Amino acid sequence: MNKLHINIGGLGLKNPLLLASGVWDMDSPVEIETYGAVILKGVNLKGRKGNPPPRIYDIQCGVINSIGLENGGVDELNRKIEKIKGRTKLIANIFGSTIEEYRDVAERLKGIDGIEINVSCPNVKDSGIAFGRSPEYVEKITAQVKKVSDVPVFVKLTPDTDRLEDIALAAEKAGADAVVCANTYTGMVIDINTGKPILGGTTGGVSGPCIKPLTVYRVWKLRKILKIPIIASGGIASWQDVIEYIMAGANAVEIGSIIFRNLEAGREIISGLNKYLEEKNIHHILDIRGGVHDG
Amino acid sequence: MFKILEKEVLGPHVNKFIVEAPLIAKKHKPGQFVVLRLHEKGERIPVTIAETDREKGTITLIVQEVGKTTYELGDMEAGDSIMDVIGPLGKPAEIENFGTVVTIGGGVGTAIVYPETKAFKEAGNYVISIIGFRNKDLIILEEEMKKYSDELYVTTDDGSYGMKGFVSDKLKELIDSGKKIDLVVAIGPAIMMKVVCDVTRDKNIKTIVSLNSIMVDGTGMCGACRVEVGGETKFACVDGPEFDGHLVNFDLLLKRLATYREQEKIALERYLKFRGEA
Repeated sequence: MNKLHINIGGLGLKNPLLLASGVWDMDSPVEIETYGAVILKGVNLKGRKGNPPPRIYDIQCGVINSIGLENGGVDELNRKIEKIKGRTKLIANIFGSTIEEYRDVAERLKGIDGIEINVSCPNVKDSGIAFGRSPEYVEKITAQVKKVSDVPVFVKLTPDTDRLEDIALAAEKAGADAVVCANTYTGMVIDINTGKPILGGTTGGVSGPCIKPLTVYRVWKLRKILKIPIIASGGIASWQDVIEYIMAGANAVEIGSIIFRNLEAGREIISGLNKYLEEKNIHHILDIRGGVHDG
Repeated sequence: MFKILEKEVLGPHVNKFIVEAPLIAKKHKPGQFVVLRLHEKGERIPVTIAETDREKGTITLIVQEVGKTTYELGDMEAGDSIMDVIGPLGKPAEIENFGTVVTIGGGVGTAIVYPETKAFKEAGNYVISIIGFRNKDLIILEEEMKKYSDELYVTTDDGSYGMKGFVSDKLKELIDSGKKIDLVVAIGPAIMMKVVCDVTRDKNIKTIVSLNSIMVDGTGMCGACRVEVGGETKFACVDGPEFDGHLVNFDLLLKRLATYREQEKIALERYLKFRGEA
């Protein structure tokens, strides 16, 4: 039997390793077949121009980016999905500047296996994170998207809030099938020679190994109060990191910036997980889930 | 970590590295590149793969020292390791039997056009190669290119070897002599590729170029490498790096290549000072 096969909100996945939104687009060299699912780049109704360059910068133990949700709109995405259907499970990441836009995008999407509601991108001012810091908005957006979707709906949370639990509970109440904990952390890098911000968008989202303990903590905290599954995302670089997140309470994980250092990261993580479960004689990956109690 | 197994100095500021990277060697096709980062604090640079040895699991990179990172790489020796080598990236070159193909390499661009020259020859084409350098000390891969070319011409800007002039002058001469050419592949500095395209445009000879725009991740995310081709925005990293040269907006490319020139200069000066050379 497949020790890695999981089910999230009715969506069966061959393994719990998902490719985070923003990393993969049509011609990207990553082999998406390796992953349980790939989350496509963020999409809104009519498309959006991204932020000015530079948009990605390497920091110690991570990456800071300020792409700004560049995309060609939902109709273009539907045409792209047509070409990649069947390669693995496809999840759309949707955003909007109004509640109605979220709903309309969800309604227009075709050929996807799930929806990730993006209410947490730190790099756009007029949509996303402003909603994501409000339990009321998260509840309304989730409810509207659920109403028009016949696929599982996940809500990707921002870690930059002191109301994380309230927001996650609001998503659960509105019928979310899972939450994704969490998006990147807002950060900034300055060129000390010019005294100016390095990123064209001034601030950016911090990801990579440096944020892992922060997000492990948040997953562990949410596990205590949520009934729905948690998909963890934050700084995963190895199979050991995946085990850590599952022990903290995650049902599945997303990986992202490690791809910029190792295109084969997904394959290496999957084979590491299989070996670990074999050696420890563990029946299924989720048998180790949430085993961490207060110390 | 990716170990450097061999290093060879090919000429002033031009180095060849044989690097252990079995997975990349296995997947690589001519025209593709890698993005490498020397260490935790290093910037990312794209480098085209010159050759691979699948059995030994190695890739060959030929790199000219032009900025801080390439100088730093030039200071590395066999036994040292490069932190990240990501690839193969980009779309492979279209190799088939077109008839008569002229492959053109400008400077270290010769290292990129070399594997394609070999592939065109093996696909049954009549291959004419033109490689150009500033002077005779900078010539690389002449013997290797000769091996896979039916005709090989070398040009130098100062006339210290081969024909005096630019690769585009030699190409023009070949065209004017009435030679039937089915495809031109030109790889080198942006300005050289632009001039080659100007020569072939009127004659309606299809011309493929490999664009060297600034890249960060090389996987389609950052957008730094955007280029205008046929009026559309394309990413050199995932849509290219090879494009129909007659459709490329070279003026925009040249402008974007100069974006960080000042910072590049400062970084190099600082590195050379650190090394005790300035």
